[in-house]
Amino acid sequence: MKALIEKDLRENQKVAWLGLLIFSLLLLATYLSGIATLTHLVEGSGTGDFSALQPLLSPSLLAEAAYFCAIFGVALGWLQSRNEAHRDLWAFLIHRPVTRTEIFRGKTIAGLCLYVFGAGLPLAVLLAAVRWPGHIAAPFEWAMVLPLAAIFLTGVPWYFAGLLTGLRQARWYASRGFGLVLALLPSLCVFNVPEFWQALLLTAVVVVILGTAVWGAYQSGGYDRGQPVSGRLALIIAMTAGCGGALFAGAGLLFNLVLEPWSDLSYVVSNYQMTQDGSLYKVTQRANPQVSVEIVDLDGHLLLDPKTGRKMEREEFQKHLAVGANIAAKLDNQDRFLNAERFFALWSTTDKTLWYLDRHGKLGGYDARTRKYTGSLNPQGHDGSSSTEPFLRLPDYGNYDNSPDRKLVATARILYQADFKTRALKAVFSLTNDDQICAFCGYAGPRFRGDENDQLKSLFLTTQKTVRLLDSEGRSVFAVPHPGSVEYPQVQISFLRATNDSTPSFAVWFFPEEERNLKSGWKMPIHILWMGPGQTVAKSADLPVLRPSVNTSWPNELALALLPPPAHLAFDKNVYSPWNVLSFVLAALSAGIAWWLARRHNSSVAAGLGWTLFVLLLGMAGLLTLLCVQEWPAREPCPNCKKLRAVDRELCEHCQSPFPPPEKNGTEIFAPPATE
Amino acid sequence: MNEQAVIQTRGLTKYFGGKPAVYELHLDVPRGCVFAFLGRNGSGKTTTIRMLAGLEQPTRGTGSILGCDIRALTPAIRARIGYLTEEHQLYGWMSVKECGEFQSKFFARWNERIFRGITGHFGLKPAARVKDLSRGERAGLCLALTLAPEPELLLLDDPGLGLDPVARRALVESMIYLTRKSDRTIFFSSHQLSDVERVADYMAVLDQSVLRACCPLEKFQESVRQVRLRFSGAPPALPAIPGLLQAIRTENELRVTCAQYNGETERILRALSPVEMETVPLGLEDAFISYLGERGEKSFILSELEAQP
Amino acid sequence: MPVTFSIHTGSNTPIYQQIAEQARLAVAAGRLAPGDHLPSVRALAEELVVNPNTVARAYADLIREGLLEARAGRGVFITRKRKIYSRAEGWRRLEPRLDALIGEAMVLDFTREELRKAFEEKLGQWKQPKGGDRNDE
Repeated sequence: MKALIEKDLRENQKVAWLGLLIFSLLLLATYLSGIATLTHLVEGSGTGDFSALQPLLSPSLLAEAAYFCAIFGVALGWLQSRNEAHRDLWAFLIHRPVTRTEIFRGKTIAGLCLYVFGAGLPLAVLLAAVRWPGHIAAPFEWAMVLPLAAIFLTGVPWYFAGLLTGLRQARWYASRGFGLVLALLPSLCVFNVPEFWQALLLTAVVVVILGTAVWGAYQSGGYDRGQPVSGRLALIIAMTAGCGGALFAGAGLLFNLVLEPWSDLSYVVSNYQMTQDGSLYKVTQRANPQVSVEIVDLDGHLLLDPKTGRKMEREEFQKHLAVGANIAAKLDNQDRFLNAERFFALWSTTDKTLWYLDRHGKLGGYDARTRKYTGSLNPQGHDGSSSTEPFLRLPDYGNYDNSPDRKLVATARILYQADFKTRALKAVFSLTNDDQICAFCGYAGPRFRGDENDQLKSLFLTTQKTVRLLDSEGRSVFAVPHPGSVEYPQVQISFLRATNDSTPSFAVWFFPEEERNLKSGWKMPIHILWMGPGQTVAKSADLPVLRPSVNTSWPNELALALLPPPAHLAFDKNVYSPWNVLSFVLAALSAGIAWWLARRHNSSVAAGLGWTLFVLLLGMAGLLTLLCVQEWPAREPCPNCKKLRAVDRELCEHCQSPFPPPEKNGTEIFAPPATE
Repeated sequence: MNEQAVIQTRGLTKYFGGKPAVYELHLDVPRGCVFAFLGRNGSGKTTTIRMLAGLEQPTRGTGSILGCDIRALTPAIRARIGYLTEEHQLYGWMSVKECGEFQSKFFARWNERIFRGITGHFGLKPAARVKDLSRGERAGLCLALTLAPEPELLLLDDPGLGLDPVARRALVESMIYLTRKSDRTIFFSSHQLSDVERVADYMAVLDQSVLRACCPLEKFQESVRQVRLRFSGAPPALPAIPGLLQAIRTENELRVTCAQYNGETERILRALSPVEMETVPLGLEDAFISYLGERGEKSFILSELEAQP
Repeated sequence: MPVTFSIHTGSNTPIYQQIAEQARLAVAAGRLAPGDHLPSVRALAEELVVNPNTVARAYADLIREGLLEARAGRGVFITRKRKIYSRAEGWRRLEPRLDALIGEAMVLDFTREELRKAFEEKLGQWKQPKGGDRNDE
């Protein structure tokens, strides 16, 4: 087998070198553009897209790597199997004293080594460059390697899919490539699953399926017959994914392009808005498909414009809206494992130093020119010395001081203003009890829309137990109890125009958390408090959550009806909805065709039932798979009973008679070997 | 007999689409012989050999090679079989020496002397790349690679195809050299009947996917006979003759070619009362062409020919 | 070795018959004498590029006729011609050829006298094979 590995390594090395070259150039280009982004960030102002600063987490680099690994993997696999495309060269490979499994193993080991060389080596060099001090001005931790590791691994399913495409001796050329659709799945999921192990698991499962299908193809020379059961099963799974994907994409495209003029996509979206006097209104936007906006009060009366006497238009209405600030406590692990936001956020770019708040709560600085770590800003402990208490990783909602050099940061109990020029922290607010800070923002701007004279500078923050408004010196303007920071993570404050001492000057909104609300059947209301003078609650209200409604266009619904019935049911829970019924009917029809095909070709009852059940569960995708995979034997009329019988069976299915020997025409010359 | 048969098939059949390429093949190839597998193009020879080599799954029927079922050839059996395809395909980027090194690593028994001998006999330089070799040189290389592991059984699919006469002669010489060991068997297909005549002990003939003959070479030549009957007048109508292949009628003569020529056939022909009856011996090639050629009666009467436009 | 064998394929005569014929002719013409040995089966097969079984068959036929003798370990040798064929059988083999010869001569308009003279001349040219003697009967 070693000889086989060496041969394949030599035979395919050109592809690997080419891939190495292309990938290295791609990575180098992205790396250099990351450096350019750094320069722009530092010279400009603001915090822009910081994820490019750490190449390992740069979205463009990750996307490029994903494309490259997929294309390189597929090219390697396909070319490797096309090397023996000629029937006699395949015979030369197979006819030697090794098992087909060993040949499969030798080829795949060689191919995967080349893949690691072409795709892995550039990534390793990139990692080395990142780790070398003085190259990257951003925090590093080993978990940041996981995104590229996951993407690198997604090339392996593509490699096997490429091998399978090159090996299959299929009737329709298109069906050779259906395995590629299955390989697409891990590539897509890497960017959408929250954790690394999930991406890894999915990739591993797909690799096992495609790898087994390739192994089966080696056993039978690319044909369906003569394969071991596991190989056949894996092939069926791979083809089903392919047929399903192709069918669904093709149907969706067809329906949306051809039937689009008749589609009736519409939606209704409503939300609550508060005017400066504290009154609540419901604003509804309909697209039917023309967009129209309707503003009503809470009793359902249409709001009229006093100037025109007709319906209040949105533009006019917006002049009266109250100004506000909106903050949300960050829930754990909202970011996926390949988002840079999971690891750090860029807090400031002062004096050519980049300050990052990393996920361990450290505020560290990196010099933009030397690109080296220069130190951290630490909060001070009670005794005045530098404490190691971590800062909270909370979103940056802005400071009341719009200077880019000063930002708000908080530990669990103390809210600081960090000055990045002087590199000092000033405590602005402290909690004294066992409460914890949840979210905060500063607001600096006009108190009322359109009125530039009345400027407001304040700090708005939520803790686990309270919601507070502080002025620019840190003195409390009001503090109210929090109904529950886990159930209501999102809080909004509106600034109201108090006409006299009794009208409220602030309103505080509490929005329920979506997932919990979903589980409770959307019963959690939006809770609103109006704050009157003296920091007291003047009024409170509970409003039902307004949910948008969307009518999907019927071309899309039709395409979705091609999904297998169980999938469609999970998606549209109403069992008797017309689309569900249609989905089932299509599946039943396909199953009927499958059964008819099986009987027509005199399959055994067990095989016929198996396929029918399979097609019933998987709908039209299952039928397509059946047509792709199953090789029906030819049929001939039986000389005895005259019915059609399969040619691959010794005895006729109907009359049990064997095939007749060839007809003699009188010219036969048969003689045993001469005995001497 | 079974222990002596290195290849045995019973009812071996292969369908491509709806048509049989090989139909109900019953074959026994004894050990130690040189077996020629003959037939016209497209009669099923390559398919049969590919099935025997385990590269094509039979539609139905059984076959065994060196005692092992052809549907499940083990590596140990494959080590004892040498297989040569008609296209002489190899990896174009390898050199002659690298081909030898590659192949030798797979076989426990590799005779480097044979490899060098055959490549030398065909005039191959060790550093020459396969893609630069001519067809004959490639055939020589393939032969060297196949013979160096000293296999017990050689399966050769039209090994002389496209070879120039010198290369073909070298091929035949190699085949005869192989018969030095009495337990070596060669099973080959060919269109070069002169080579077949030199080298084969037995032959089998496939006619449109059906086996029509399987016998020693001399038996075939003895069985296919051409008889010339001279008549004083016009030749009479030909009665039904078992095994009739062709009949040619001229003014005074009837030339009949038939397989299975025996006493019965002689009697029937004598009953036509010819003036003269002479048996014309046929060479192997002529016998083969008559056997597989167009069947039936042809007239070559001059008056009729002249009448045609 | 005084005799070179040559065969050609595609002829009406099977190869083994060609070899046997050539051996017989060589003995008849005196180029091979009793005691001369012929090449071994394998050597001749490889020289003529034919299957050894073919050569073996030719040799077997010659042995059966009494022309050749196999001595274990030493190969095949021409023997003293022992008459395996009876006179009658010999005439049966010879007669068709005489008929052919005379018939041909007639067609070519040779006279009997010319034919007889030519016959005597030829006989004079052919040497009597060594050891082949009518007195051995």
